[in-house]
Amino acid sequence: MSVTSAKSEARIASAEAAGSAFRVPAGLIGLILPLGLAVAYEFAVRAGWVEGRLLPPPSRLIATLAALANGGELWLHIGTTMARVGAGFFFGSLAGIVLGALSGVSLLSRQLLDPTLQALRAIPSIAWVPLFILWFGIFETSKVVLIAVGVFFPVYLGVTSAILSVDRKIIEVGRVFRLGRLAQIRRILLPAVLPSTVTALRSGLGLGWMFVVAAEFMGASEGLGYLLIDGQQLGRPDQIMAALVIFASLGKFTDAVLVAISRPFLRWQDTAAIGGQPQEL
Amino acid sequence: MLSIRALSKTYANGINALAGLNIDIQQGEIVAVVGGSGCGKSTLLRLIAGLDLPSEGQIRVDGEAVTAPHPAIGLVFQEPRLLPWLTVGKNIAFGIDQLPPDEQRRRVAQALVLIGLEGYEKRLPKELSGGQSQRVAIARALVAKPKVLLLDEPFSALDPVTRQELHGQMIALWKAYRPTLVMVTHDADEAVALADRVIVMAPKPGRIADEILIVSGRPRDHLDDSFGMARRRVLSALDLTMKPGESRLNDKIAAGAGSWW
Ligand SMILES: Nc1ncnc2c1ncn2[C@@H]1O[C@H](COP(=O)(O)OP(=O)(O)O)[C@@H](O)[C@H]1O
Ligand SMILES: [Mg+2]
Repeated sequence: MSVTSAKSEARIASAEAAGSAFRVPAGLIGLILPLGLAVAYEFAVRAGWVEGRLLPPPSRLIATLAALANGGELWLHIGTTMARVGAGFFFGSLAGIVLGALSGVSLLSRQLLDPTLQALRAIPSIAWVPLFILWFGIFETSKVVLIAVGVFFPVYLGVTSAILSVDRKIIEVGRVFRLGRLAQIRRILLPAVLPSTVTALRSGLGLGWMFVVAAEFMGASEGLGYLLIDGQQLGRPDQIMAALVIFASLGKFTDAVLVAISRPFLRWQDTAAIGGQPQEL
Repeated sequence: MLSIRALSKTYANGINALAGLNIDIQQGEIVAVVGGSGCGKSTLLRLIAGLDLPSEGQIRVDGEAVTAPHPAIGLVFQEPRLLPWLTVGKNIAFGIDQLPPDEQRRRVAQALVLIGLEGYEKRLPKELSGGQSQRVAIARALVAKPKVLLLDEPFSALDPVTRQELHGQMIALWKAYRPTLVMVTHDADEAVALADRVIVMAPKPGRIADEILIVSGRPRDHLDDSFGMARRRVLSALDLTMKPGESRLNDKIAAGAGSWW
């Protein structure tokens, strides 16, 4: 689509919005449901219709978050968890990209590596926990390794299949222009696999966030997962929910960072999704 | 300058795509290869381009044997095959990145003018129409200044009007760069409009059924008598190749239409 037609469509959209009293900016539509429910629940608790002890109302949640933030405790937990996810994501995706690239580019490495990795993948990753604790102790190493294992598989699989599905037709373009092996990789393979690699990294990151919780359940004295367990033991659902909200925000935020970093390199893509948002078909 | 001797290709699955082809092509000549589908036209071009190896026989360009993609030989595929992440300008320059940047820019600018896409240099392939993409693909092959440019049904996916337009541009490009052109097509009109010589191929196994010389100058008038005659000869030669069991194909055509030899 050309820039001008996109602009004129935007103009039409905003003209429609001005003409209709019910039109809400697109980004805000998604807020209606959660905000509406929150306000309704808050109201119900205040009116005394529900007790709100096991499910604290939004005002209590906000107060808890504020208290945690003021005490400085919150930043410690966030920092610890972020560091764990960051390290696990780094090592896991590095290994996933390297081994995935090997498997994708060379038949021999694929025949050598893939069956073993596929077999390991069949083990639910959380099941590694006891072994990792025996091997690496209960401190940081075992946590980071577990997260890295979780990140590794989607990245490995995504990169391998991205390389294997590069169109033979554009590889032939490289051959006609007599590109050497390195130039073939740099000028054709890398750009061609970039979109699926970003997708693979995003699912890896998602799993990283999942696994950091498991890792912090297995004995931690700080971190958002610790906050969850601590809240359970103290019988404080508000603290648990505060941790959940932070998990959600951080997960979304780190994913958005990944997307933002990769976007300039993926502008050329001709897909139905524009600006990360799928269009209505 | 391009010589093809006893060229045969049998694929791994046993299909005999080409059997004993001999072709000699002069510098700057435009040769059209026509034939029904499956008679080995694409196979022939892929062998000349060095993308596949022949089972038997030899291809030489200026005396040099072709066993791998050769700098003197360019190929335009049936689809544009542009790299979607490169702009039009960078796609055109794809094969000449070893040249100094100034020279690259000069050649790209010149090619953009010739294909009528000035001002499109910074566009991405997704913003182009099919005809525009194919023109960029042709420019990409031409800026490397190959002595021989092979085109595999380059216009077959386009509508007749666009195709007509591209014929004109093709001749303009040929005049600017003077490559030897070997163009596969399934359109007799296209062959007669562009070529100095039309090679008609027959299938199973792929072989040359007839060659027709077109002597008239360019541009050619489609309504002209000699155009119509040449076109009819190509069509009747094609017709014969479609009929099974024509063992003495060449003789019949030679007797009927007074072939060029
Ligand atoms: N890579 C291949 N492997 C096996 N058979 C092939 C391959 N490419 C083409 N063929 C066969 O060779 C014959 C000639 O194909 P092709 O050169 O593509 O014909 P054309 O371009 O004239 O339509 C066909 O019968 C086709 O099925
Ligand atoms: Mg073909």
